[in-house]
Amino acid sequence: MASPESKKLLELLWKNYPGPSNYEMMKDKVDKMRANFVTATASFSTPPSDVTVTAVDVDGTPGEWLDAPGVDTNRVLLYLHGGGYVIGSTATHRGLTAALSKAANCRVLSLDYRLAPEHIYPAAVDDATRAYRWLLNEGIAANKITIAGDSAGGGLTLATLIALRDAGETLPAAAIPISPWTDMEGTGESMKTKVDLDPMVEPGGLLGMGKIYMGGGDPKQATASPLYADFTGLPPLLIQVGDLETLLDDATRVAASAEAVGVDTTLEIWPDMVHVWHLFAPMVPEGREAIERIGAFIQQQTA
Amino acid sequence: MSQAQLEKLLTIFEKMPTLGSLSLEQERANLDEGGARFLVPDDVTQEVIDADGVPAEFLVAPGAADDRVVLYLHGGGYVIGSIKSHRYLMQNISRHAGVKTLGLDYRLAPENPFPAAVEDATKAYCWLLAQGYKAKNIAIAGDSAGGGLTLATLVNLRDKGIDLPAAGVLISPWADLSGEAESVQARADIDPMVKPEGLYSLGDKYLNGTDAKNPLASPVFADMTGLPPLCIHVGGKEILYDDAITVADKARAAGVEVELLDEPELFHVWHAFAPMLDEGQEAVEKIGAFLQQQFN
Repeated sequence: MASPESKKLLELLWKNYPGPSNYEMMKDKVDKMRANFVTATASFSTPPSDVTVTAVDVDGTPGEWLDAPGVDTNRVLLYLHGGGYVIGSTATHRGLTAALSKAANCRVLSLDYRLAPEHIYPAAVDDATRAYRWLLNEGIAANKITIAGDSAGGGLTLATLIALRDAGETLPAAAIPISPWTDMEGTGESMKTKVDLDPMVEPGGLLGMGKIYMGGGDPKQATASPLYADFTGLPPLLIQVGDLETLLDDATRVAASAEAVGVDTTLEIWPDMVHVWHLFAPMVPEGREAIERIGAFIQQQTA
Repeated sequence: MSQAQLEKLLTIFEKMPTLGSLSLEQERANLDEGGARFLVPDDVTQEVIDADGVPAEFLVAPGAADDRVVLYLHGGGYVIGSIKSHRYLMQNISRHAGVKTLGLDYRLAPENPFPAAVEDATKAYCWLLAQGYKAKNIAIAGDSAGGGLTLATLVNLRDKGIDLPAAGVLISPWADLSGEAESVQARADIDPMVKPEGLYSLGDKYLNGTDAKNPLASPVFADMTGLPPLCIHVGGKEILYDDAITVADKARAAGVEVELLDEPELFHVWHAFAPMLDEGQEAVEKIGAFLQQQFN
């Protein structure tokens, strides 16, 4: 049963539904889309005052540390924000990353990986893998590191694990894709069946961002669309997705593939939840609950 | 119809600025951009045409008969709208009627008031005849102002003694520019798209002083004797509801065959939202079936 707050959120999101979009409409409006996203997330992006935010140069990629009071500094969550690889930043997601530091009792390294169209695929994957290696170099043990991300950042989380595995790196302890976007081409059934239920991810706009990110590259490459990846050897995954999402099948298909090759996979499909409802945690109790579960999972996997 | 689809569309309409509240340039750009939200599928062939001086474009879906064509007149109050804003709808009609569609950028008011649009539509039809298309293999279709223009063009062709096309399709036609139809006020509160003030302002620009009851400007006042079969679609949530019903009644009284689709729950030119609304797609398919029948 959805909370009254989440029902209210749904109404609010529909009021702001921008309507269908596509690549042609978007390609020259990236600046405006970025600015709009900042405005849209403004009421949720301020971290609590007791969480310390420190800018950091992550081997050339800008990032920031989020430290809730008294966190265990030996454990780090590398966080990859969402926004279709085109918009979003550490700032738009600061409310969520701060909450995760508290819930997981660890430091969060939130990354401003390079965005398209200025930097197309695989820039984001390169930046994320470099950030992970930088953490290892900083002396953080692989088994104390987790990676999480939402939406495009959720897909990027999986892509990063795959790239690290293929490079023979020691993998992190676990990963948490939140409402992940794992299929650049939007071939999931839910792209059609959920389109009238999802006020946030509109298929035309999603594919438009995919096209911007790929910049002509093959969208089926495993580190672009992890849907097509072999997940053998990946660490435990906690995948959370809302059942109102056009991206639902991006989560379920990936979970099935991971499970099939023996990855310890937990798929949580949250009833009546929208895309990355965690962002609305200050308003919606289900958002706080989901963050708590991620926190508990991280603590358990990095114990 | 899924309630969710309808609600989603209504939230989009709510945010749209009232027609007449922005600059002409901005309103034209908005409608063009709005139409371009629905991408023309890759399998459609587009060919830019000069139809005897009127800019036009063939849109051809796979399998369309080569010798049959629908001349399509877009809506937009004779002031806005273009081939660009209506491409999705036009290719959708091509696909389901199994014929080519010729979209027309007829001249718009206020730069080119009445009767420029009627002249251009007539010219494009004659251009098709000159290209070798047989009258019986041509239909004229249009929505809103383009629906009124479709009817006006048929009347004009008849008056000039030109061979008439096989059929006319009027989607939510605006056929009465006098603003006196009862539904303009009576349905103002339930029409989510068109408001009386906006309608009056568009009418003034197009008429530019011409009597609103001129039958080529407001074909609801025309004698419809001898016109080809008409397919008329209208929604109940339209201030233009009476335009469609009066045209249907008068045409039938004049002996014209009329297929009327009166959808109480739907709004102005819901066909344009086919990718988001099941009823929109169904209505386009009904037009396709009507046209196939008329061409055979």
